[in-house]
Amino acid sequence: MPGAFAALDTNLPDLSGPEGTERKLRALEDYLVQLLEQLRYTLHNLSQDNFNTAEVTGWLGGVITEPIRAAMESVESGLSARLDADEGRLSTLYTKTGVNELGQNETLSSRITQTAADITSEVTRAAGAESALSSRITQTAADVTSEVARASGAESAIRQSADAIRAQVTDGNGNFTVLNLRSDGLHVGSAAGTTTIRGDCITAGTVTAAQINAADLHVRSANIDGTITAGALTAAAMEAIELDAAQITSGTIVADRLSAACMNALELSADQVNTGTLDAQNIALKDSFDVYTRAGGTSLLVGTLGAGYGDDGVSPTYGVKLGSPYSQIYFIVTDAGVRMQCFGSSIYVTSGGCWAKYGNRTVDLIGLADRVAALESAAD
Amino acid sequence: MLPDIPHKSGASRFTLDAFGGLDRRDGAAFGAIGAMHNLTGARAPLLASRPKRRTAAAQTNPRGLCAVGSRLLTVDANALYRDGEVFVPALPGAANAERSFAALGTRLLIWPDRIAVDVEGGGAYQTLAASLSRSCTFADGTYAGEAAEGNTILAPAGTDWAALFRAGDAVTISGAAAAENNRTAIIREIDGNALRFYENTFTVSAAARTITVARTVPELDFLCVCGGRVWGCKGDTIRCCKLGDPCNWNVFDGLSTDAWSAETGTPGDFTGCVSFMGWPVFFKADRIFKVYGSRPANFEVISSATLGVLPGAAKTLAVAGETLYYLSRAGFVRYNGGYPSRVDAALDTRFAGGAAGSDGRRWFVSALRSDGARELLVFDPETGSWHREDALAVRGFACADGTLYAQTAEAVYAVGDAADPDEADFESSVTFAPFDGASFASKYPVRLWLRYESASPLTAEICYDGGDWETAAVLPAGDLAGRNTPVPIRRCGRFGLRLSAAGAWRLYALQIETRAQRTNRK
Repeated sequence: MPGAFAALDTNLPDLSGPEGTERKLRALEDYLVQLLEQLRYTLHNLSQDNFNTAEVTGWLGGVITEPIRAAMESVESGLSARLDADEGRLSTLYTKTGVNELGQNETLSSRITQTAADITSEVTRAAGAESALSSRITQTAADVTSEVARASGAESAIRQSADAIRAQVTDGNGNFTVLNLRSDGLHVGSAAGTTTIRGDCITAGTVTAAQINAADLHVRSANIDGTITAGALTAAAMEAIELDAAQITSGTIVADRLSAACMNALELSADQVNTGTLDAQNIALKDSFDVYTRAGGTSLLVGTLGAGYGDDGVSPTYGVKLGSPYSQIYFIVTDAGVRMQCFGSSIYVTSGGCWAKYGNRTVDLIGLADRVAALESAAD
Repeated sequence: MLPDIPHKSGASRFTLDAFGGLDRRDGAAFGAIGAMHNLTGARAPLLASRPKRRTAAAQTNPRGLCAVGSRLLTVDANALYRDGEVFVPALPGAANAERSFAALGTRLLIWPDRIAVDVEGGGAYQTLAASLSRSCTFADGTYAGEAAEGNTILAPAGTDWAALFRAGDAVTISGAAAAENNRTAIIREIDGNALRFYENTFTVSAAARTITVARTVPELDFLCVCGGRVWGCKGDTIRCCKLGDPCNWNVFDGLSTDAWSAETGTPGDFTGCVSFMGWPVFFKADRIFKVYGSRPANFEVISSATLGVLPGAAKTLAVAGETLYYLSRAGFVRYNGGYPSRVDAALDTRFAGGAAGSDGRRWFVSALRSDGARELLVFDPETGSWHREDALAVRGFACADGTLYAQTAEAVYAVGDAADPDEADFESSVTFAPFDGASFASKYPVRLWLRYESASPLTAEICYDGGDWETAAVLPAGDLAGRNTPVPIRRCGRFGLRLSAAGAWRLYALQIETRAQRTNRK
């Protein structure tokens, strides 16, 4: 049951036998009828099966040498179709004009344009400036691009190439977001900046999220403006305006202010510590800290405790200074001795003895009876 | 006055040594055979009694005969026999239904039973149609391992759809609550109790309901096989099955292997079909339809308003010598792809039906005459001559391994040149068209010679001038082909000659010597 004329098994009748003229004519008549039927069938079914591959290729490729222009139009239905084919381009355009469900005049058109290098398909709906829509898909050997645009200026585009997929959405007011997917990661960009998301990290100027849920979140450096609530925070360095934690295990905490019910620290360095009880194995002070007493809701400075410096006449001495709110009344213990000072009066205790000084007088050794008597008499 | 002396004797001899066939027409020339009984043209140009037949099988209720390759298959008493042995003990169809056959490879397809049986197999047959009713739901499922919506018919656990259906079968679903689910669709996958189709074939329905899933096979009046498909017709519709799959007649999948059907839109029902010259050819009483094309997409019915098959004469379709013969309204015709032409003018008889077959060279037709009589006629396409054997009423013919078999109400016979014949001697005779002396310019016969051989005495009878038949001579049996045997004959204006014998005989030549009448006698 061949479908092509070439494959028809209708051989010329064998008329070489002893049959008479009448039978030969009848055989030829039968043959003619079959040929006619088969020719009629073949012409009704001219398909590629009827041609060899080379002929089909040649026919489609070069036999038609003139441009083709074909158009159909129906005024009644508002439909029109056009086919244009020339050496460089083949395009079809189909247009329908009518009234849409909103009562607006509307024109729908679609076009497919094909060249050797690309294929472009476009669909446009024009129904007033605001609702006009158009979309286009362009395919080349290198990429495929699809675009959708609205008359208001909003548009989106996706472009796919061998090494990237780029998607962009613009609202017509200068706001845009661009997704650029490349082998090195996903690049998300906008007017505000660019974020790069890779398989192993996110690189961005700012990440804003209502919640980041991660089993293991590593941050090289973080500035947290709000509140961190965590079972445990482990950090090489942490800076916080306010840190509320059940326990902080750290080498060094640097903070403007630390507020804790209980704080155990190997080393605590602070400009000011306000606490009910300070229980520390070792408190190091660079200079001094103030001691206040609270009376009637008011903090009253009653003294200071800090580093003290002195001079034994040969070299400087260092020690602890316990002072009153007045800087000229204090008590200092150094590696050279102990001194009590009140304005111009002072008492020194050294390994060499106890000394006293009053005003501009010279330092006198005290502790010996005669010396004391001498002093008393001198005072009289 | 002395009488005139003729210038010459006026003697002439008419020798007939190439015998034509039966020619019942009045006025047929001498040498034509006006009647014959049990003769054959197989030994042409000489005339001979037909070969003896062999009884292949006795029949009690014969309902069909066909051949597949060298296998002869008969339906008798609702059983299918292969080469005379019971092959399928009980066919599923009605006992008295006349069967139609088609062979697809070694698969024999039998209608109206609508079964297929491998003639080289063990006799198990396959029912082409299948149907199963179960309480089922229409559900989402999977297709090709992917989730698919509305594509699955789920039957209760334990149902084995694969026992009846295969992927690719087109099934008709009925009984579903949602009308849109009662449709014909193609099974894509079978998994136990799940039948899967393409996605969104059905509206999902979780409520179980008894539905029937059926693979239907159409009723066909006539069928044939062509191009790997079974073709058939009924009413005004031509159908073919899916390529190579006689189980599926409703697969319309847009593929080259699809099934196909078409209505011709012409009056009347189809009266027969046959595969001929590479196309399925369908007949109505006054039209011939050929289906051209290689796949459903380009199948096209080409019709010719010409002599088709007479209703009830589908069994007369048979190919002999690359020409198709059948009984049309105009009589027996030959068809070679062009226009049918009559071949039975010499028979001068109207026929109403019959059955025919071919041994590849000659066309045997057991013709039912309009007067109700039967006669087995043989047409030789090479010589264009008819020979009549006897009144054997044949129901159907089939040619297996070069031997033509004829099924009658009593037996299946091997006819033609059958090996190992077992038929008893039979009477055979030939009656030549009358010799009309007037047509030979007032000649009259004076001598008659025969050259023949016969296994039994050969009786020569002559009818003079329309009178009764008179036995002119009983010629002896023997091989007398080498010499002429005279038969006494009287002077007459017109005579007929009839030869008959009870055994086999051959007539090599017949010679008549005539003398011219004196036309000036007063």
